[in-house]
Amino acid sequence: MHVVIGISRRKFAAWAAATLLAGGGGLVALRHGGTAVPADLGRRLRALQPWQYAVAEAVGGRITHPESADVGWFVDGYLSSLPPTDRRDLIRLLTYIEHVAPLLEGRLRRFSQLSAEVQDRVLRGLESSSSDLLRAGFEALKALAFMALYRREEAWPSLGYAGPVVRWEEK
Amino acid sequence: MIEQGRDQRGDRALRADAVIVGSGAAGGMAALELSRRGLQVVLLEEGPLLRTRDMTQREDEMMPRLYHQAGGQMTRDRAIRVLSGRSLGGSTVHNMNLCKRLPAALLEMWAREQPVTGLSVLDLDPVFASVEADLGVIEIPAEHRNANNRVLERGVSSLGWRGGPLWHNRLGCQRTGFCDLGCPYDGKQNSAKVLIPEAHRRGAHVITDARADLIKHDGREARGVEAAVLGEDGTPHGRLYVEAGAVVLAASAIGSAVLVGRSRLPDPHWRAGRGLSLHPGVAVAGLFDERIDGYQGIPQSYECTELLDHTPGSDRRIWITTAFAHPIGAAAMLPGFGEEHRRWMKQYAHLAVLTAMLHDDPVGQVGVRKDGLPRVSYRLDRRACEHLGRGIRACAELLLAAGARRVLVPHVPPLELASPSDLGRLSSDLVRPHALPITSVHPLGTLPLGDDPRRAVVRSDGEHHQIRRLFVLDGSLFPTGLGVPPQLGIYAMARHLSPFVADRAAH
Repeated sequence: MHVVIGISRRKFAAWAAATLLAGGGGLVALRHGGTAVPADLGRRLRALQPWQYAVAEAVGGRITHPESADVGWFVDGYLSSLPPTDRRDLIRLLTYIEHVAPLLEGRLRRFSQLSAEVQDRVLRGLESSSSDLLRAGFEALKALAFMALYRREEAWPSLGYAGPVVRWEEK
Repeated sequence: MIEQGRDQRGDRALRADAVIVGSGAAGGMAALELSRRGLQVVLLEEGPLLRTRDMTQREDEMMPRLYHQAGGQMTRDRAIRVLSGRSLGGSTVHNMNLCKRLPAALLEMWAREQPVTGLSVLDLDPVFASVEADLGVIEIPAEHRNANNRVLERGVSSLGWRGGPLWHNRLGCQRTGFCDLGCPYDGKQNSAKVLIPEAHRRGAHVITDARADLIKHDGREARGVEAAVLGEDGTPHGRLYVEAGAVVLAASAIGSAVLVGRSRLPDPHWRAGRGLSLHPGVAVAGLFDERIDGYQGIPQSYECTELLDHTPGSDRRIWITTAFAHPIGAAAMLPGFGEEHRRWMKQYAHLAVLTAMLHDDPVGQVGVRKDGLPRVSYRLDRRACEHLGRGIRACAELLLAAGARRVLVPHVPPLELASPSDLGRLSSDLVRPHALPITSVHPLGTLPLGDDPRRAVVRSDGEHHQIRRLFVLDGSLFPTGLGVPPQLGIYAMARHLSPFVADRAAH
C-alpha cells in the first residue's frame, strides 16, 4: 500500500513559524544531534537520515506496541520507492512529530526522547488533531507501521489468520 | 504471446486501425469487439502482465503489483483512499466480481436530463444478456455464502429489510477469499482471462508496461498515442508511438481523464475531468462469539438494499454489503493504536464487517499534478456525510440484529455499541473527512457522454465532441454515479459502443 500525506510547504512553514513565535525556534535548530543510533546506520539507510529513522522507529514502536516490527527500516525502504514529492511530505511529517508536536503538548524534549506515556499522548494529539492534514499524516504513519508488523507471518497466528492458501513452491 | 514493454529496447513506432489505452473491463471488451470486426488493434496497459503464479495472496506483495500507487492513491485532501487497478486486466483482476446491470431509473434519467440517446433499457438489455453469457455470470448460491455474508443475511432477515444474493462472474472459484489480491486459480471470468486472450488470438497486439502519456491530435482528429515504456522498477526506458485510425480511452475515470488533461484537447465548456463520483464507502465491524473468519470464502455474496432507491429525488442512497480485509487492511481500518488497537486485532477471527457505500453526486474532479500523477479532488458535503452516517447506523443495526456482541465504528474516538439502545449515540454529524477511514473503489464519470456538448465530453456514441476518432468507453462515461458496482455496466457500454469505433476507424 502506498501511503502519502499532503502537508504543503506553506502549511509546514506556517506551523514552523508558529513554533518560532512561541519561542521554540532555537530548540528546533539545536535539537538535531545526539540521537542514539548505530554508528553505520547512515550508510545503510536509503531514504532517511539517522535521526529520521529514530523518529520512525519511535512512532512505529508506540503504534504497534506491544509488538515490535522494525518500522524504521520499513519506512526507509518504503520511502525509497516513492516519488520525490511524496517522500518529502513524509519526511516533513517526521520532522514535525520530532520537533513541533511535543512542544504543543508542553514538552521541550524531542519526541524520540520522551517517555512512552508522553509519546502516546503526542500521538493521540495527532490522531484527533483539528488539522485534517495532521490526522491524515498520522493515519499514513499508522498504516505504514501496521504494514511493517502484519506483513510478517509470525504476527498472523495470534490473530487467527491462516495466511495464504496457495503455496507455489509446493505445487 | 503478449508483449511485455519491459523487454523493449529503445524507441519504437507501430500502426494500427485502433489503439486502446487500458485493459480493464472496457479495454478488454473493446479489444475483443474490434478484433472480431477484423480491425488491427493495439492494446496498451500501464501495469505488468501477472500470471496466476504471480498471485501470492500476500497483501504486502500484491498491493503494489495490482493497484495504482500501490493502493495508496488518495483524494487531494487525503480523506478518501481511491483504489484502481494497474495490471493486465485492470481492476477486473482484483475486484470482487460483482455483476449488476445499470439501474433502469438511472438510464431513464440520463435519457431525459443529460440527454443521452440509444441507451434505454430496451437498447441495453440484449447487450447485458450477451455480456452475462460470455462472462458466465451466476447468482452465488446460498451454500457458498461465507460466515460474514451469512451475518448480513441474518441481519436483513431479522429486521425485515430488503436484501438478496449477489451475482458474480466466477468459474473455477476455489472460495479461498483472496479475490482482492488477484486469483491464483484463474477463477475470475474477467477481462484478462476471457476477453484479452480471444482478442489476442484474433490478432490484437497486446503490450504491457506501456503508459500512455499523450493523445496525438491536430485539434480536430486523433492520430494516435505516445507512450512511455516502463522497466520492471516502473521507470521509463523507451518510447512507443502508435499511429491509429481511432483512439479508445479505457484507462478508468481517473486514468482517462489524466490522459485527456495532459493532451490539451479542446474543452470549450470546461467539462473534461469534472463530474467525478467515487461511491465513497465506510465500514463497521461487529464482534461475534463464534468465529467468522471473514477473509475466507466468497466475499460480497449478499446485499442489503433497504436504503437504496434510484428513483429521482429519493433520499435512499446507501448500498450495503460485506467488506472484510486481510490483516494489514484490517489494522489500518480499526481505530486507535498500541494496546487498544491490539485488543481489537486479537478478535480478528470473530469480526464481521459491513460497508455502506454512498450513491454520491458527481462533485469531484480529476486533474494532473506537476509530477504527472492524478490529482483527485473530491469533498464530501454535508448531505453526503449525513447519508454515510445513516449507512453506518444501518450497518450497526444489521450487525446487532444478527447477534453481534459489540459493534465498532472506527471513528476517532472509537464508538462501541453493545445493544440497539446505543444506536442513539451515532449522531447525525458522525461522518466528516478524516474522522474515519473512507474508501472508494468505483471512480466514475469524468468524461461523461451525452448529446449536449455543454454538459458532456463525448457524444452518445462515445466519440469526443470536439476531436473526431477519439472515443471513451470506460467508467468515465457515466453522467452520474451508479449506486451499484459498475463492472458489468462498463463491460456492456464498451460492447455497445465498439461498433461506432469500428465504423469510424474504417473510414
